[in-house]
Amino acid sequence: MRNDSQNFKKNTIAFSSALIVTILSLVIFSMPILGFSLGNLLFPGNGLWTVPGEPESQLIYIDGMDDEVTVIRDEWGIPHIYATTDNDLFFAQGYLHAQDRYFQMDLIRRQVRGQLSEILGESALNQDKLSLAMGMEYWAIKTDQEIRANYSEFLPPFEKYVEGINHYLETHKDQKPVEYQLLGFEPKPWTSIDTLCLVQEMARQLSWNYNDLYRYSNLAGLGREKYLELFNPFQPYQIPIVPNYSSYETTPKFSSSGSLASTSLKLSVDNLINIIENTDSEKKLIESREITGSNNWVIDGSKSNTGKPILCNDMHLSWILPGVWTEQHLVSEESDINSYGFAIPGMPLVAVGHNEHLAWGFTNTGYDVMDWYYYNEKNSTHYLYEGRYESFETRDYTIKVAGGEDVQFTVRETKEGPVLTDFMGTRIPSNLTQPNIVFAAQWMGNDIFYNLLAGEGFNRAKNRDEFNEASKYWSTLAQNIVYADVDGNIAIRPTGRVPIRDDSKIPSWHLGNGTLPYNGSNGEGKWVDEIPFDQLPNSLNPTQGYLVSANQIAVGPEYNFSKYFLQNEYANGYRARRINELLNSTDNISVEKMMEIQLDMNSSAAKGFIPTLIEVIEYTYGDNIPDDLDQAFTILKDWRYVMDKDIAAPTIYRKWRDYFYAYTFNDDISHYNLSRGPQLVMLEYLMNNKTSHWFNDSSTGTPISQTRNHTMLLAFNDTIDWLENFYETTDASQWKWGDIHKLYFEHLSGLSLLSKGPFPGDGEGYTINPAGVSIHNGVGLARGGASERLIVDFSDLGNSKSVIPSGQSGHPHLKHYSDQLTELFLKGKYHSQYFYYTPANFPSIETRLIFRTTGGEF
Amino acid sequence: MEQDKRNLIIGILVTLGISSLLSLIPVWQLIFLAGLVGGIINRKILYGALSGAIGVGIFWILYIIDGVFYKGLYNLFDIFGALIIGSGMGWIILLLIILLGFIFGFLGGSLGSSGGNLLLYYYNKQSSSERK
Repeated sequence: MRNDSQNFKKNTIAFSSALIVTILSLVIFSMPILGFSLGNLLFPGNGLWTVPGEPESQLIYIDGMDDEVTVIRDEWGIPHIYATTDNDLFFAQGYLHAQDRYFQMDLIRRQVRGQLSEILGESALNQDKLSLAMGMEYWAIKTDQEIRANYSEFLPPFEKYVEGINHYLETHKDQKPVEYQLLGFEPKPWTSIDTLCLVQEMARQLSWNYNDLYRYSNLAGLGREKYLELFNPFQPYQIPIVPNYSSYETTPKFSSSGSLASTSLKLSVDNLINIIENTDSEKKLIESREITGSNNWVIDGSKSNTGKPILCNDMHLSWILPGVWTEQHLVSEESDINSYGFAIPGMPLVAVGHNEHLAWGFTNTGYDVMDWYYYNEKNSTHYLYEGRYESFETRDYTIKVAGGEDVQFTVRETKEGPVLTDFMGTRIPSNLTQPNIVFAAQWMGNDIFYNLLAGEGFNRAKNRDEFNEASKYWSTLAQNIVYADVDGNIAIRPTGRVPIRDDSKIPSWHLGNGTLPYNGSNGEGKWVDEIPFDQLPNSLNPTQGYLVSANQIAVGPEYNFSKYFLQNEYANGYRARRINELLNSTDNISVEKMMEIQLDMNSSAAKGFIPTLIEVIEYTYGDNIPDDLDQAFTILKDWRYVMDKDIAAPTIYRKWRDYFYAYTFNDDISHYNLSRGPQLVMLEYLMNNKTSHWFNDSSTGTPISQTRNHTMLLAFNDTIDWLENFYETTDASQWKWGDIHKLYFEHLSGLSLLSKGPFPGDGEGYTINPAGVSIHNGVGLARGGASERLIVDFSDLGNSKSVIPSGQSGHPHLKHYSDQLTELFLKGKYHSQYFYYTPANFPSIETRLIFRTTGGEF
Repeated sequence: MEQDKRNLIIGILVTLGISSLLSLIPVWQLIFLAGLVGGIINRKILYGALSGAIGVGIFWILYIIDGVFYKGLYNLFDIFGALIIGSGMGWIILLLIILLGFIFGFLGGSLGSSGGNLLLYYYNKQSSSERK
């Protein structure tokens, strides 16, 4: 009995103790720490243990496929899809996109559709409101309806693509990518609207802008004459993309006549700019514009060493992980599709690349396809429009917010477009007689778009005529589309819908052409037409034997500007200068030479500035250069403008250039209350005039006379001081560029653990191989540059080269997550493309995935 | 004594089997159940706890070996290790997981064994009072 009692006591104590510790363990490992439950994340059977593994060779039976599909992944994990029918091909492509990149697709479609708050909470609410106000989802839905109603022949493969994505999701519910585990949300099925939203997102990244506002702010601050000196729509030293319209001898000028700009809107515009710059997504967008650009060029057989064209393209976008692009090879016997190139995960087809007949590549045009309008608002439902009150049209949304109540949001639409200021929840202050104003934007993205149809045409085209037909569908997201084919043709056409405005009602100070915000209430700047496709600039087989676009001005002075205005903003033109210089001076160009050019680090900006600096120092000091300047001076003098990470000259040049720019313009920016400074190329141009008033010091209110030489030397002295301090040595040879110029590849989630870098890097923002940074505060991280590199060799398409600064997979633990980045891209290498029409004799098979039908319906 | 050892081995095997079945359900909390069932077979609390600890521990070791060497998941734990300890410390995370497996099994086994004994005690008590 006593034993029983002791045992009872012992068991009770053991049971109670174990129960308490068990409950504590359950609580501790179930509750969220660092945003996630450790138990759900770490313990076997859960979280990290259930993420997708390496793709394996598999045989998958699927109901309703037309025939067997073979997918071979090569040693870089790049899928080569061999199908008999288009439907099967696109089903497989959708499946593979989901397998490799679903989180990326999901996150971006959430961003476009205003669904980030649903997973991130209230912090993303403003961004969601702005996205919904921009109308990207709205017009994706309209486009989906339009395709279903009028382009039904395009639907089956498109729908099969979406089915492929969802089939993967359905069959892999127990394999959630790690990002879902960390952020704690579930993947949702994909729709055709989501795909169209991705087109909208590309359009937003490349053409949505606030330039009209910045320009107005500067014009109001400077007055028309000074404004046109610095911000002329025709910037100096431009080599037009399309060579058919003559070239620029001198800097063309707009007439400086006209009255002073009204400044009554400046308070409102500056406030709006301030709010935009404090909105994360927009700040990021504006910063990314420093990165966003691209190069493409093509040579014909007379310039190549093979007698056949070679086409090159590298699109400059933010460096993200997973990368923007995924590489694919698509083959369908049914329609003769045999396309190889780069696709956006979430979109069918190949966006940029080649088939067996022709190749194409993109750079951004910078066409002005967006205007801002301001309106007098009567009340929340009506606004003044040409002397009468019109009611806003409205779109109502319910935004789900993680951890909070749903939020109702109404987008108000004016005649020209959605009111964009409503997301802020506060009124824009105004100096106008009418104190209540709202800003709305008209954007080419706010319309039905046919880009996917164009893309389909590009993939299927067999010659220039078919390619041109397809190009007519390229609506939003205007691009300089470079072209070459097996018949030896080369061409370029900056393509996309460009508005024609009615500027008959603008005041005399307004520059027109969508340059500045329009008074929408007065009916200014209505879009009345579009530039006809055959009036867009175009060049086919030019006598020079090559074509180059690097975001510079599209056309020369003989284009019909008075009728068709194209662009207000374009690149400084340094990359274009260098590419033109190299292609013009070289013959018998090989694929290897093209690689050299794509990787070129020679800065034509440095070449534009440094000789003058050398001249000024020699002129000022003669042979008696002060000791503290002498070593840096000698380094610069011996330099040939190569932005090599292992040498010091690029560091000295860059820091000096920053000081020179700041000492020339910062006083004016402050004095005239400008919202942004001029392009760098304007400073290069101003150097021709030693006594330009822009070198005067305006910081004290009354300009103090200063010269170019004085400013350049002051900048040089301060550069030496800064670098001695930063590098903690007076030995200028130790100021290595790679120590201050780093490359960084950030994961979409922002998690540094899933990101790569920083790596010491060559180049700068203006080299052909770009990597722009700010070194204002010391080490600068370049976060964008070539997002892919493509070289298409028409003498042997299998000798074509490519590389992406990431890898095929979006899963951070898998070997193809960043293998191309670390093994190829950072080393300046490429991989050859396996361009085989059938899977037989494929030389490098990592895995083989076979889809086989079970005979039923999908 | 022989019976106790036999129960220990049976308890380990039962825990191992149930652990592997439960790994198919993404609810890690159920792992206590595996230890509990293994423990309930043992009358001695220590043996019950050991059968749970060894059963769950061995299964988690095997599971981790499979994940690390065959599914290539080590990188993920390395990344996670870097977040909370420092870079290159993924193996510590894995060791801690194994240790926790033993502890959870131990707790489950203790609960099973002691709980089983308590149930038996009540059952016997009730039976004897009914006999009286």
